[in-house]
Amino acid sequence: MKISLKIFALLALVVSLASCSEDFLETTPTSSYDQSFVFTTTDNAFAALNGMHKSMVAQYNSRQNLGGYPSFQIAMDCLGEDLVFPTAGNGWWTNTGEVKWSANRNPNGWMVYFPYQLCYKLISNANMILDNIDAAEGPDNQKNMIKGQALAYRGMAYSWLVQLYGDRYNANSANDGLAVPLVINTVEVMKPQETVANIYAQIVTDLEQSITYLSDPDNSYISFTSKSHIVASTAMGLRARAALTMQDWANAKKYAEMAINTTSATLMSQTQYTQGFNNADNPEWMWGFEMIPDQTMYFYGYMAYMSWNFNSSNIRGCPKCINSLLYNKISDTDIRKTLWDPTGRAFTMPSSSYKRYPYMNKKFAVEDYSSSVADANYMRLGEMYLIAAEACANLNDATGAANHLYTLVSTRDKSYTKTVATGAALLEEIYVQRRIELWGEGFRFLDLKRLNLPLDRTGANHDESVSLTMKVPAGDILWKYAIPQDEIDANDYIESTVND
Amino acid sequence: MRKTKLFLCLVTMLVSLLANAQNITVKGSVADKGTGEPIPYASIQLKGTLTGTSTDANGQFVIDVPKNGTLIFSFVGYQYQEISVNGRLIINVDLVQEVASLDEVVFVAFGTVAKKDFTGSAVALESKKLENRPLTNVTNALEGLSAGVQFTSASGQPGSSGSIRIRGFGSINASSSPLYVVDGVPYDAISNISADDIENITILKDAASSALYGSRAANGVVLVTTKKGHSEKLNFEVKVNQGVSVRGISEYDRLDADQYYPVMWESYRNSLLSASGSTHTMATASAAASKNIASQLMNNPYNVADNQIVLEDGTLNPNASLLYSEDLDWSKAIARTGHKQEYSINAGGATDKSDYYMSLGYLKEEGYSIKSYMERATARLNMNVQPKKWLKAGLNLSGTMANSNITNTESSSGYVNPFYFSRNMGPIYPIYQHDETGNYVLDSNGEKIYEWTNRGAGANSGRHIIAETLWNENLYKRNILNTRAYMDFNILKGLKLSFNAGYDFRNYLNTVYENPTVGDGSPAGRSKLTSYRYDTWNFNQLLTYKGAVGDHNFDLLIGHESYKNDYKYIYGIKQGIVAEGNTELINFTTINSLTSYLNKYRTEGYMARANYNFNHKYYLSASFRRDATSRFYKDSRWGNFWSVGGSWRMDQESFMADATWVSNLKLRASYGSVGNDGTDSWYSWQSLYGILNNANESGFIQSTQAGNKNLKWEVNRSFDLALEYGLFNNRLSGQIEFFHRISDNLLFEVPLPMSSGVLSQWQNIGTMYNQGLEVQISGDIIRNKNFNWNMTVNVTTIKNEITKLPQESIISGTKKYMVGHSMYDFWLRESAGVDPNTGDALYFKDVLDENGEVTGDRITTNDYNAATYYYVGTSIPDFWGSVQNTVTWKNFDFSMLCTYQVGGLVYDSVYASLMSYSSYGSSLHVDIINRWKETGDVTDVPRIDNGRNNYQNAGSSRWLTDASYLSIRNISIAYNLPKSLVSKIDLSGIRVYASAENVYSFTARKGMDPQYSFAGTQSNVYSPARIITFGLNIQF
Repeated sequence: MKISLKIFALLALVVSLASCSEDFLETTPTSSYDQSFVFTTTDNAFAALNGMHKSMVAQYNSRQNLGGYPSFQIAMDCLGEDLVFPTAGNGWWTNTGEVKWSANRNPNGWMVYFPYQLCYKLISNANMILDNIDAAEGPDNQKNMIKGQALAYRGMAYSWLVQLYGDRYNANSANDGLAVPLVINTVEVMKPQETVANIYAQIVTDLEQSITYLSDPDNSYISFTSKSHIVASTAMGLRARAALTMQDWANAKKYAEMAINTTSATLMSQTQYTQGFNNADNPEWMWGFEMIPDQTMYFYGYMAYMSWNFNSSNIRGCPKCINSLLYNKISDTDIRKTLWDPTGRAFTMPSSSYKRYPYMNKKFAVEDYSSSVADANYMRLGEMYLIAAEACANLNDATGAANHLYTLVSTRDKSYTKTVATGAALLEEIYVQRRIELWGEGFRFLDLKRLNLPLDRTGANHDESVSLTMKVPAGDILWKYAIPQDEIDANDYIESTVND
Repeated sequence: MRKTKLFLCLVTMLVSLLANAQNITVKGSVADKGTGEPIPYASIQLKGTLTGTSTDANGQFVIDVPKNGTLIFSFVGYQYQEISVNGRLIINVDLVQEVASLDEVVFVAFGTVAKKDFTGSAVALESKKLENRPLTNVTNALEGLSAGVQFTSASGQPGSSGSIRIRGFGSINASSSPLYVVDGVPYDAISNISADDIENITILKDAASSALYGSRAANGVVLVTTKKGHSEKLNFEVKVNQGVSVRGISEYDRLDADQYYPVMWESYRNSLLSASGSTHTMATASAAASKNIASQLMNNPYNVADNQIVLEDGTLNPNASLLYSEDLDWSKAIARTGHKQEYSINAGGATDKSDYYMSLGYLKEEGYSIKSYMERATARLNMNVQPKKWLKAGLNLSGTMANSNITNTESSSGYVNPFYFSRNMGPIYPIYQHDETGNYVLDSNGEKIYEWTNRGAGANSGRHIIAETLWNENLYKRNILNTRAYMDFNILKGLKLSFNAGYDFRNYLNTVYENPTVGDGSPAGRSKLTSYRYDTWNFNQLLTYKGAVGDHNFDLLIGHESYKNDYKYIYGIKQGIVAEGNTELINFTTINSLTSYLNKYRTEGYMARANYNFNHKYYLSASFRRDATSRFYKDSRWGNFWSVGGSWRMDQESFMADATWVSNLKLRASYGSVGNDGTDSWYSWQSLYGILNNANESGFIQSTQAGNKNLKWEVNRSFDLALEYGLFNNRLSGQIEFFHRISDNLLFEVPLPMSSGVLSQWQNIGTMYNQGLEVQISGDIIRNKNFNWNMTVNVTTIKNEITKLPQESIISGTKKYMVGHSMYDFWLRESAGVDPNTGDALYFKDVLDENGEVTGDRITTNDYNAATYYYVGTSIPDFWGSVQNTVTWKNFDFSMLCTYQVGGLVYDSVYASLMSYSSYGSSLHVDIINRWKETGDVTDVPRIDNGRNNYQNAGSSRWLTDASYLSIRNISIAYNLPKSLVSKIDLSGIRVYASAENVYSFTARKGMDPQYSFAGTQSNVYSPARIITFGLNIQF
């Protein structure tokens, strides 16, 4: 029958259409790649390292004061006494807790969440590289160079974590207080808190291994043009910093001097010192981040808060100032004295809507005041001299200390004469030079904590209604950040009473 | 004259005798079956010819027709009837109104079912009910329609609609929204469809009715069907609406300037006293406060010096008066009265071989927030043809073009969010610049100048919402195309093969321009262009068989379906404006970012369904669907979903024959499983690295979400039991329904420890159930020839409980998920009031014994970091529902819809921020007047102290507010002009109407919207609008 032919034809049609091809349901995103792809070759693994470099300067959590490592640097100075906010501005850094010391122990706040988040992100990415790179296709020396950089990141991240979330390291005690979980591979990712002592032991191991890998001339697989990559001297600098915090003066001296001798960086000229600290071409920069215009950080950037001329409401309403007592200690012949204006009236501002306050800074600047694009500086040669000087002074090598100090300060102040101080006076002079030199670069809170000094903002130009907290005794609980609540909630090993 | 008449008579008789030798004269009447009233001007037509007549004013007619002809009787609003003459000389016809009756159909998955034969749980909204409620987004008409369905409020943005939850909350992290299906294909942008084109919206509530959409129907289905032509008589309608839109929810009550300065003074003074290491006394602190408060607030709006505004006793200087009190109201400045207008025409008709429908519409609605609006033009053509008995085909094509300017409320505390900005602006800051005497400062054109510099840290210094809104743009251009096409082959009697195809295309182009003078674009000026493009294809093949053996009726279906969704995203932003007035990217110098990506989502499924009934009295139905989704790894992606249901029409039983007072009594039950794959990303199972380039070198970064190859379907198993009744000729009707719905293998975004570097992972782990009772009663309180008053009440109560979780507890915002609690139970510090000695806010804290165990005793503490957290209530109401009153009197229709909720709590974080004072310059709620001031004061508002704000105003149960409300959602009145009047001008109908949406709400606190979210949270958003519309509808 004709009709049944029709039926069969149609049914056949139905059956042939009624199922889709095998890979109809297989979909892959275009904005991401599968994990396995990233470690097939060493070139891809190198890209994973680049991702870590970029994640140091990126926008986090949709909060403008969480712009990566530079935001951490600002926080460390906000907590100190040398950086002064003349007004509360538009709230960033003041009402968010850093300047006021009002959120150090709040486990639910962003102030303790962010460094924890960023550090463990770097640690996890480093662990992924270290665990997977040996299986990748590519030359061994490239693998070792990549491992060297990953280990440097891990060491740096743990030293940052232990300094914030653990008790102060004391070379004369056991340091067995608990700090943060020590995660060093991709398998055991939920761990209990580790002691301060053991964390520092791991830091030392990681950084020394990193130095070994990166110092091997075979492993300088590619000569880097970008200062965002970690080279041997940078790893040495990180090791020196860790030793300084551990009051391990011998190693601090050893590695600082090693960094000074290995690096290709040279101390900048006086002119370069006044050029705004925004360009990685500055010969003194050892490690930093090079920002291109289409990776601008907008209002998350370091310069959006610390520069004197970027057109953000935070800067226009609240230029960042130096502590007047510290300013008065700067020698009049020192080029660094010109970076701050005690009158508040001397600088010519980009427009009249910029407010001016006494002791406002000009140290940090953007090239184009409509854009916050600027390179970020993580480590420069000057710091190495200060570490070496401080280490020598603690080893009672006053001459060595004086020499290192002279090498540095003489480039800043042509009239500087080598110091003859010894003992506590010598150390005090080194500390003052360190505060002047590294102003705004992220060291003050960490220095006060490691030196067991109190915070004292009195007697200077702090406005107590802005700064709120004028004194904090050394050893106070406020010197230790609370463990973030999200970690406590998700980590079975951490009790909910850990912050009590 | 008489001769001519006689002559004409003879001619006529001859002609009619010759032409229609078989004609007879038929007389009769046409009446309304329900009321018995005669229908004047009803149309009577001889089928197949142009011969026709109409009834007179008394409903009587006379017509000459062949003995064996067929007459078609019709009138607007009634079902037409075809009656064979069969030689009768008198034919009286009763026409049935096209209103709710048991003969109507229910739209279900892949077809329709007669309402009496439907064994599931569904509620429908017909187009007739939409006639008097002109809505831009028709989903808003569903609120209050059915028990068991909860809504959040639609924002004031024109075209927006609220979220829907059908029978509770199906998932914790995955989507809990229902599946929207338009003409058989999943599609959720309902705001793109003109309300005029909607024939029917049906909400499918239970597993049995939605099981054929199994894979994504876990949270219920909203089925939308568009109009098609259906009557022999061509319908042609023209509609015009005009209306206004204003702010529907008043602003929170806040302090005015004269109250504010002294309060801020006190906050400052107290902070000087309580600062660590402070050496102040009350006297020195008061003096310092009086001297410096103006420099903290950064603006002095008074005619006295800065240090004389607040005296040292804390009172406002009696000589101080405001220089520009008219320029301080920001809430008023961000709002306006928006104008709404809508024009549309639609036409449809049918013949025995085809039907057609066309519509054209234009709408422009201005929101009450300045500059926001939506403008939409829609067109539709829906045509079905049946050239042969065994072949039917159709095409439904519609296009929409819409432009809108969106008020940016993406962030609750964004500078560009006008509600956040104006609500939190202190009452002492002017919108424009003034000189020292209070006069406006004018520019060279004599225009006022905006002021944005002299503001305190808490008053968004440097930003200006009015200037930014007026000088910036946030435009969306939308182009939409929807097509549905099908072919049906009736192969044998009862056996039909259908091919259905659907293609939907949506492209949203968003242009954001940020001016160079003030705002995020300052100082360079920026322009951003984002394109979102969705291409969706859906194709299914169905084989159905309908048959009967004696009293056994059955219909069977088997089929296959595939669905494809491609999402393409393109984004570019440049800064550095060259010339003002041109927002195109070419007018900017530097590229800040340029990127694009493509995401894909696919599903495929096989389905089968069988419906059986015995004599339309006993029903049994079953369905099965096997589905796969691209969202899961290949080994885990298939899921099986099924359902069974049955019903018993008790009123059809012989033992019920005597109970004539029962018109309808049906008992039904169903049980089924449906699935959910709604994770937030389409690639949640994959372990990924994102792209993050380091300057010009390529870079990868590990995703903060771990992959999971075992991720699979979340399953909802629901049980439903209902009794539907209709008594006294359906004068009293309704239903009582019980449901129990278990969500298993919950798709959960499990938080991982931050120290693992990976913050979360999707897992199937967790079980939760929703259980509730729905009661609906509808009664015609008065039912007369001319007057009818119907009241319909529905009430629902729901219980939600978690029965299994991946870890002992998971804290999410203000909630803690734990076995034995609902997903919306608040977990907060518990406020213990205010210490009368110090004015400190107190919180409860558990007393622990030596082992660290809870003893059960509690003490109070003023340190919020030491406070213990407790379960302090839930956002889920005790019960909720709606009351609808409909009154018809002669030609007037009146209806009022109220919705209500009893119980439940809201965490009013907006109120909390208005009671906080961490920054000088932000506004304060009037409740701050009741604050503690000196030892011995007993109050619930703590001492104000800028330095101790986090301690005084920490998150706690203090901010929980009763969420009960009564809301008058809609009032509408319509008048149909009398048919007699209308047909005189050759029209079928004229209707005028007025309708008001969001008339008024009674809530626990002015300014709060308890319907903002199901979780009981609050946010600074574009709060709902009150819209009043007047309309005119003409039918030709």
